[in-house]
Amino acid sequence: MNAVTTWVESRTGWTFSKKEETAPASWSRSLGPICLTLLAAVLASGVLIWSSYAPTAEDAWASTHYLETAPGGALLRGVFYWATHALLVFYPAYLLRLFVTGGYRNGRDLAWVAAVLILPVLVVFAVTGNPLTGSAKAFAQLEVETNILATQPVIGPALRTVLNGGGSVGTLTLTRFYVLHAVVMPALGLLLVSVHIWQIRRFPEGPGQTGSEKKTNLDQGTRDLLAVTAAGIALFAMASRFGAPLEAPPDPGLELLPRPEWYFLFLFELRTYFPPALEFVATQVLPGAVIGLLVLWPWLDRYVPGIKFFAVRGVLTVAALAGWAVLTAIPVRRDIEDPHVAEVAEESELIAERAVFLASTLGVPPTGAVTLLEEDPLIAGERLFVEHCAGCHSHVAPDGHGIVAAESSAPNLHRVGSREWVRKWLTCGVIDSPELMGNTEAFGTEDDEMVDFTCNWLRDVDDPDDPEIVAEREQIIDEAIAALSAEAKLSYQAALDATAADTPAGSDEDMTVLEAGAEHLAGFDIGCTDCHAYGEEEGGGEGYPSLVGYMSRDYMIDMIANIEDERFYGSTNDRMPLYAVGPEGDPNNLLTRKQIGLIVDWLREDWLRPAEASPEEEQAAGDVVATIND
Amino acid sequence: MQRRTVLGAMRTAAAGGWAALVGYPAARFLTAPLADAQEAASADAPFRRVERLARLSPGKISVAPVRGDKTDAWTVRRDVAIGRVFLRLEEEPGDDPTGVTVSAFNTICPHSGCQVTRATTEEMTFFCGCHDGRFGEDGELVEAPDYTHPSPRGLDELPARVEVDDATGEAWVAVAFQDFVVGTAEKTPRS
Repeated sequence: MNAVTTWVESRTGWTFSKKEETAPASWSRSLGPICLTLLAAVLASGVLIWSSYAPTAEDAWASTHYLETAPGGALLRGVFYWATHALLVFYPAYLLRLFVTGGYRNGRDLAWVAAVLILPVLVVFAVTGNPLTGSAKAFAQLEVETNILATQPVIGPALRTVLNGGGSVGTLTLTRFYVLHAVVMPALGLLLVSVHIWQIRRFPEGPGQTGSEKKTNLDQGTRDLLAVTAAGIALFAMASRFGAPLEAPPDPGLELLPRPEWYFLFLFELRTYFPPALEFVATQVLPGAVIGLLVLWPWLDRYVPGIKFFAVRGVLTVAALAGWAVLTAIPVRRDIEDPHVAEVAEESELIAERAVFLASTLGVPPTGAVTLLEEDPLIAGERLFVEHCAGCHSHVAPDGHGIVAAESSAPNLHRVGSREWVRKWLTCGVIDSPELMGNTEAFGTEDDEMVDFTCNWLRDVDDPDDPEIVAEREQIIDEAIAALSAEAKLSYQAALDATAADTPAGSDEDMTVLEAGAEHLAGFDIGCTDCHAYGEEEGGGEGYPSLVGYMSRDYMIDMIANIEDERFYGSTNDRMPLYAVGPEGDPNNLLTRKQIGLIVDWLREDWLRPAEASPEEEQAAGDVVATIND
Repeated sequence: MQRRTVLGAMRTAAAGGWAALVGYPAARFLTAPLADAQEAASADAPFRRVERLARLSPGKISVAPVRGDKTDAWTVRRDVAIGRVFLRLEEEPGDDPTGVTVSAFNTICPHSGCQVTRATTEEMTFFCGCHDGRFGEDGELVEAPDYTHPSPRGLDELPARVEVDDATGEAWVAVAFQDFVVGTAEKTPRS
């Protein structure tokens, strides 16, 4: 070992041998080693992240998600993320210590200038690095940040266009930020760090500079070792426990309130105190002036009378920290108190979770993660329902959660086709209520044949006072409902349908429940086929929707595409738009069959779920639906 | 002339030449978006059909996506959402739907480029949650005591008209959709 160090020393002129320690040992002097170790961790993990990253609008989120799911990838991102945040705490602390202790004196002015200039480099690192995940928030932040740059008089707008690589944020913005973040800034940063270290080694901290002269048992080397180890343990704990966030991918349907990261919140707040034309003063001139003042400080300290005192620096430091804290606390508090901000955050968290699940399960198509959401019944089906159906149809669960129609004039479609839903048609007081047809003129009144049937005929038994006869009738109705609902082939009802298919019926033990139900529907018992087509029976004509394959996927798609088809309501329809009458691709269709399929799958609750969801996960998925529906 | 001077001048020239060799194409390449943006800004925005007239009711504001082709670097996406507009039918359509007035606004906040939403208060009609931007019913800046508006201009109104489809006879709202440079008092189109 000794031979190696001697050789290196002789070739390079460096000296590794311990110099006489003049400054007293202090924990605060360990800030430098902590920063250097963090920097090393950031560089190493950053290069690895770089190796699986693709800076395009379609791929940025997908490649970040890929890394997140790769072995060790989540931890790698976690280390990178938390080390960068830690650096943004520890580096300013290191700089403040140099400032407060007068560490820029005794020939260290060049060291100081290099150290101060690292600060704007860190800012550019953060600004160019945050958007690289290609999330919806990233693009929204980019939009705002480049627009902030553009508020600079004269060169601002051109700078934005050049940085964006065009008029708006896109792939070229990512590639440009990527080069700045991964090549230009590291080169500049390492140069400044090298100059700083070279200079502070050349001009070591003298005695008395730290102010504390008391003798201690721990020398600086031991302190540094302990501090760096503690920082490493903390970093590992944060990285493995929390990882790095992956926000929702770009999704045009998602509302966003982009907020800057915590360290920039003060600028966000400061900006609001300036009129529009002077905003650049808050966001750029003031921070620039502070950096400039710090750069010049060693000379101000030397030549301007009255500035060199510790009290001046102490007061400035306290004022700066207090100002930063207050300007950060105000917007944080405002957002905490604003329920809308919480809603938006919750929604985008749900979308993020969903996107991660879909990407992990299905993989990301070449068009990017946004396609996963656009083709997901849970997300897109619900949005299409809100946009195209919720004017008239509600989708409200029995517990009251859900989408309430703007002007309810059509059936509540929550769990359409299920037994509970079919039962509503056969329940007087429900069929003629707003739950189904209550708010429609043609169908919702006593004059309507179906209402008349349900209210006056269905339960009209010989002796309504004989509970046995009433119960018998109800059993027949139950079996009919089971049979009709089974036509829908709902996945969430599959277990019930399967049981009904091999359980003997209460009304006739030679048949299964489904067989008996089918008999009731077609036969004299209930007599649906007097009007409706069902099984082999043909229907009574226009205005009587067919019960063949009732509310199955294809049935629903055809129904939404053309409610006036003879299978459905024919010319008796007086309200529902025909969504896709023309052939596929006809621009006059209100919706494509694919879009209708998404709505139908959403209504049928047929969306991709975790393969073996535990009850808790099922509950969580239910909450997702409930929350989105709210 | 001394040999040293000549060599010195040659060295400077060589260094300058080498710098230009990389510097010239670099400058051209980096500033290329400026020329593109200028060109895009001077192009006329075409009217695009965004919503069926029948889906609007007078006085009510609705949001409609605008679809079109979007070019991002080397990728062209056909028929995707390129933006959103607020629409408001100003009167009940008469016999000739093309005579009806529809107001259309770009939903992008002219302050920092966030998405503006419909507001639910009496004081304003549109609201931007990023920096508390408040806009009145015609997109104008709301003035209130103790309130400085962050935006240098009101919401960007877009030309809108009603077209009747030749084939189906259906009435459509068409908007000459365009995005504008944000953060400036004047309304400059951007690509």
